[in-house]
Amino acid sequence: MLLKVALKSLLNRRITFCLTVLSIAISIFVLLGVEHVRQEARESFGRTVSGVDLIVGARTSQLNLLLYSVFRIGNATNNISWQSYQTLSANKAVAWSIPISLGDSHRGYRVMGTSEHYFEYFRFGPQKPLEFRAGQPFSEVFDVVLGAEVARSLNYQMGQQLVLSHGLGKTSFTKHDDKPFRVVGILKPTGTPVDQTLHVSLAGIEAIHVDWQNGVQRPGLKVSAEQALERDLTPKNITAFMLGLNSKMAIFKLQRQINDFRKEPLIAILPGVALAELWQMMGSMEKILLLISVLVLLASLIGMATMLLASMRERYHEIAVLRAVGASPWFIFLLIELEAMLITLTGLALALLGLWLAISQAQDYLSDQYGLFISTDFYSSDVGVLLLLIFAATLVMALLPALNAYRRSVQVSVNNF
Amino acid sequence: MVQSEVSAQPELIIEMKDVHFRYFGAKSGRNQRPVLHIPHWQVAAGQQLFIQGPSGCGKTTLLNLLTGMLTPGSGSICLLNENLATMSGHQRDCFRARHIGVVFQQFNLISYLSVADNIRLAAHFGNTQEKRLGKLTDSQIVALLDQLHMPASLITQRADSLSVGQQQRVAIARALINEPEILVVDEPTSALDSTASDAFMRLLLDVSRSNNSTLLFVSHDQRLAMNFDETVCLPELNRVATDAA
Repeated sequence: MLLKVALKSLLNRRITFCLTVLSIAISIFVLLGVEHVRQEARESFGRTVSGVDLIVGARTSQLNLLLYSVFRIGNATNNISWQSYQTLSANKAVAWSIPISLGDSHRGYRVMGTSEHYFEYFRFGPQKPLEFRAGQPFSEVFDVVLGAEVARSLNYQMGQQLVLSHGLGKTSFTKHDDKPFRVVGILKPTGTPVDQTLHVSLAGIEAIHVDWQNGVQRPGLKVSAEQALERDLTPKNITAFMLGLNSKMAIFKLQRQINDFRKEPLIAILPGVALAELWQMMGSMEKILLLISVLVLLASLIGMATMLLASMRERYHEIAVLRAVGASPWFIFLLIELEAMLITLTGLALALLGLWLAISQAQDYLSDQYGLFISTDFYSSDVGVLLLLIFAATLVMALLPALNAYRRSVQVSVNNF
Repeated sequence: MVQSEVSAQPELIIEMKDVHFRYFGAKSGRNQRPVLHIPHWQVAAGQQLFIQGPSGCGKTTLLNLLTGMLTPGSGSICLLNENLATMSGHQRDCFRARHIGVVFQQFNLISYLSVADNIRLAAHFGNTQEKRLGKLTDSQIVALLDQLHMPASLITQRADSLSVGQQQRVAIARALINEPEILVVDEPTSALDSTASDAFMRLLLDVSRSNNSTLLFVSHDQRLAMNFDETVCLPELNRVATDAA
């Protein structure tokens, strides 16, 4: 009966009820949205690379190297010479190495030149290797292996030919259209930037640039794909490389050696340490966002309490009737608290629905633009705690109108009718 | 029944002894002047009493004391041999729900609830372990409304869609749903025209009699007094004025 009275009482004031619910829904949407995106971003970044002991690139900040080499965000400050790569990867402490060459793209998706070691040694998530949905690793110069999202969104099939573009823009006017690549493999989804990447051999990258110099095609020089295959396609430069070591004990020693490398200025980073630095930088921003969300929610809850309090004057007769038929002041108190909870619950349901719709719609955009893979599964222990706090805050905020109603119900008497 | 025949004494349903009451000033925090002092007053079961008196003589205060909404400063108020003054607030609420039906001047119903839900609300509070009435069915409500000459189609209507006269009759239905021993009615005809008022009075007296409820009817309209077994003039019962002198 308490629930029925509370529901009908709220529906009787449906305009203020709807506006209050909307206000609460928006604030919960913001709060849960910020929290969910924060968690998912961390998880998404955290599972992108595993099993890599060191990442080496031209000297820059460790964060920049991590972002461009692993997350395909930003650009390298300089290249590494092939000789340096060979020297360092030949170190006896090194078990395997994966060279990375970036700088080209295809319809907004980055192209990564690498070796066949990439498919053998690269790991993501909990040490999961890359798997093929179809085909196999590249074996020829003009072979390309597509990430799952590239194949899905561009609807590419095995054997299809595609042309790479120079540079990283979504729309490029400098295409390597004289040297098309053939799709020989499509990877299974990983939920990492690998899905957004086209993988070609380093020789392939070299081949499309044989008639290029300093980022532009040499005037009057045209080298066909067949002619390029006859050239020496050993790369001269790469962007970065990943190293797996025989022993973890050697990580710091090799890192120091690379950082002190005399032939060119390099930096070696531990991916975990660089990620920790990233979270440290993001931490204060996250806290500010969370604080703003909490303040927005508090403002909405105060609005709800004000609405309930303002309705008390017009509900005096209702309270008096309830008391006359035997309702205790506690019943009145609980009625107001229940109304507040119903408002918050309705707002929460709307917020979750809105969040699900928003993330469903934004998933592709976020993964395309930022390499963020945000799932629509909201529940986590942190979200659970947040929900409990929201309900607790609702009960506390509703105390004022509930106590007011309690006080009125104690004072109510026959002459209040 | 046998006992009353043997003793020939009617069963007492209300007994007030040396009841003093004064309002407590919520803002000043001080006791205000005395409002009510009733040395002794008793009502037998089944009586239909008309309580009259001018405005300010303490009629509403008396009803608040009898329904347990207010507690006396001193003295005892025994209803059905239970002293309201010694009960906790919760006990008084339960007692009121189970044993007292209340009808007021107006605004008797919760406007956003249907007729059936208004009646069910009273049944909900009266449905205790001590006095289990069971789940109230629509047919029971329809039967009660029929007794009050109201069509069954009204039960789904919102209370605020009814006329004042219909609302007052639904209020009687709600007051009677828990089969209360005492029916307290405070100026219920003040918002009705004379025709509706007469019809309402007949209905009220009939249903309270058929329900064996003791009826306490408060009004300043002395024309209504002829319908009752006895008239109580509150200024004669209330000794506040005498005490002050």
